[in-house]
Amino acid sequence: MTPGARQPEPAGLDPAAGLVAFLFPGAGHMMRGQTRRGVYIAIGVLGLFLGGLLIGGLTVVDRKSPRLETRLSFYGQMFVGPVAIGADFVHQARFKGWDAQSRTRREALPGETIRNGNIEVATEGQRPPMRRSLGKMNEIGVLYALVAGMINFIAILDALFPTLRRQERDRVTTSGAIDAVLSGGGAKA
Amino acid sequence: MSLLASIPFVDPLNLHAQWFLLLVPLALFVSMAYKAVRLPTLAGYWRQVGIMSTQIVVGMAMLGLVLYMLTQWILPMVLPMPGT
Repeated sequence: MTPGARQPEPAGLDPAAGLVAFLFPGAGHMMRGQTRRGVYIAIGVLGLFLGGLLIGGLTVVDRKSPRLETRLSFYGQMFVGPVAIGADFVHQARFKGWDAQSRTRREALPGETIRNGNIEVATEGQRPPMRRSLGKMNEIGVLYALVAGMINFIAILDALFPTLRRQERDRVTTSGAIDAVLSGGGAKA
Repeated sequence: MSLLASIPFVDPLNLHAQWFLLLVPLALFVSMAYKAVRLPTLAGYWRQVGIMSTQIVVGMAMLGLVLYMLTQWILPMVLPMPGT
């Protein structure tokens, strides 16, 4: 390395912050006293994940999807934490029913409904509990949720291996209205 | 359940004609989370978020334009398809 080149900053290890960061996006940084960073991470990650659900519906989080891309994407989405795992659990438990003909659990199609956990023919005016997203809406929704998981993976690593000097810098440099609100009147990180 | 009812976060949105606009919130949220992790200090955070969001949106638009030109103009000139 040439003289004067930037050295990597020393990093620590904080397993508790890493675990908390996995349990809720941004919480690892908040736990380490970097509240403002944590709030921004939470808004970014949850905005992406909930945006994906809003765009593509619950279909975008499905670890047992008939589509290979959606099935594989779940393993990336999982890094959003219990929010993503819970969304998949609700999808499997509440919005899929047992199809006696194919002997599989699947979503109800138009003209069908789910009654007592079984897929049955819908009566007049009934619709399936959820509509599957198709085409671009599905692809974009899956992408949003997947990117949320990948970005949170970076945030988890950052909380797990924190840059030791950053906390001190944040304390010195942050100021302004957002900091005042987040820190309850004071201007700290 | 009504045939017309649409449940947010369960049923999909019908934005098939405006799908490309969804790049803007994607870029914004990615930039927010990434810059919160990456910046050494949070001074100038929103400016950095704005720059990165713009870079993503402009970059994707340019990539789309290049691919459009490649598939619609350049490839048909280099490799004319039968019947076109």
